[in-house]
Amino acid sequence: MDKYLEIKNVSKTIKHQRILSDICMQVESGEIIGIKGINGSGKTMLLRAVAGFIRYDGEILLYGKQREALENTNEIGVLIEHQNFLNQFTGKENLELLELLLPCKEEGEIDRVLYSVGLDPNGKRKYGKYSLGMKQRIAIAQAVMYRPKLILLDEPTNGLDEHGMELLEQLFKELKESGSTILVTSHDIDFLKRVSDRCFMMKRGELIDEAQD
Amino acid sequence: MREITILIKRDLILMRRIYWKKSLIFFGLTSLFDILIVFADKKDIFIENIMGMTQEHFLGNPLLLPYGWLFLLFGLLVVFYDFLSFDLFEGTQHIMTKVKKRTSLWFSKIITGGIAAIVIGMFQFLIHVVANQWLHLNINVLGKASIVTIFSMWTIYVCYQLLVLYLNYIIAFIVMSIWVVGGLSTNSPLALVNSMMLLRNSMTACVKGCGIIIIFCIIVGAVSINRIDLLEREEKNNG
Repeated sequence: MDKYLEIKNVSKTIKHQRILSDICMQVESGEIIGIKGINGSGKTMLLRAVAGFIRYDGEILLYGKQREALENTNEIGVLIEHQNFLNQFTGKENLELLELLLPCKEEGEIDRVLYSVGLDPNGKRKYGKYSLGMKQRIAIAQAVMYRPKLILLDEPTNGLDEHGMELLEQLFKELKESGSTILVTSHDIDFLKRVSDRCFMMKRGELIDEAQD
Repeated sequence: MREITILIKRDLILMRRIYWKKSLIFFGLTSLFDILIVFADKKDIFIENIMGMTQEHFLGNPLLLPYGWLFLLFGLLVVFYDFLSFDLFEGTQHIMTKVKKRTSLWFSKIITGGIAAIVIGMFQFLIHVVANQWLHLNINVLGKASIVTIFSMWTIYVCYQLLVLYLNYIIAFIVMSIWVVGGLSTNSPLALVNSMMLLRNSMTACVKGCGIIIIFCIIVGAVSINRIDLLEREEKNNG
């Protein structure tokens, strides 16, 4: 398999506090990587670094290229903790607004992705009136709607009920089959064991490979 | 350029769907107040409201503020206070994975602010023309006042958005307020307001002054936006 994602000696310090410490990781194409760790261990910050949201020391390469050098912006799908959308729009309208920036490859992609997370594409309820679980589902939908090659999911199970969890696991299988690489963080260790090919532990900004631990 | 155009299109949709109510209430009330002043036969206050006041007049009346003029100037800030920060720091950073260059987002927000300033300035001009039926002022003066207002609103909006890249928007708003109100009594070129009052300056000087500030802020913002971390506000504050 191809080496898709390479994280080389990535460190991040904010206000003299070391958030990420010399992180190294190599991920194959189509692999699902689970990352667990207590609150404040640096899981979210690592995903932010991979997404290109923060500046860091070190190097993160996708297919051997810097993220900025990628030609397509639909290569990465992101769900970062506390995802927010426009309260005045329905879930579908929020996704359509994103589609304005980057059109989907296929027609009806938004409806398809909404069904896959258990939301009704024809629902009239505004995002501001959504329950926590529905907000999480729409956040997952926006992360996977372009079937990106790399998907970063931070605590995707938050707020999901049993049915939501089943749909999420089904979605993971489909994405893996279509060749997407996924980095997922969660406090739900059972969930991570079920969906991940490899599991890592974040501890005070350091990444520990469970297999080698 | 295509990306900026798409982002502007998105911003205009947001304006039409989200911000129009706030704009209508804020600028509608400001206009209503102007018309009431006309009917109360307060010609001097009306002129102050649309053109600012002379420094002598301000210094001679220390408790006096050109409140109507200030309301108008801060209008864009009051209505669009979260326009940029929502896309960068409010948990909506996923948008940034769909944007190839961060600077495109910055330019689009600045241009959309300019479009909003023009729309609001023209709306105010029409209201003032209606009010002028009873005042019989020179229409050219009203036109110039509107152009000065448009540039002033846009300048303050651009400065504010630059501050928002680094500061919480409430702190940025306070900083801008201190800068603008504090500048009322000085002749310093660093004080924004002197070049924004038609009673203190010419329209050309205002456009030049505002133009310099806008270009400076756009350049600094374009450089800054590539250097900042897109963290949520609490994380930015807590580190």
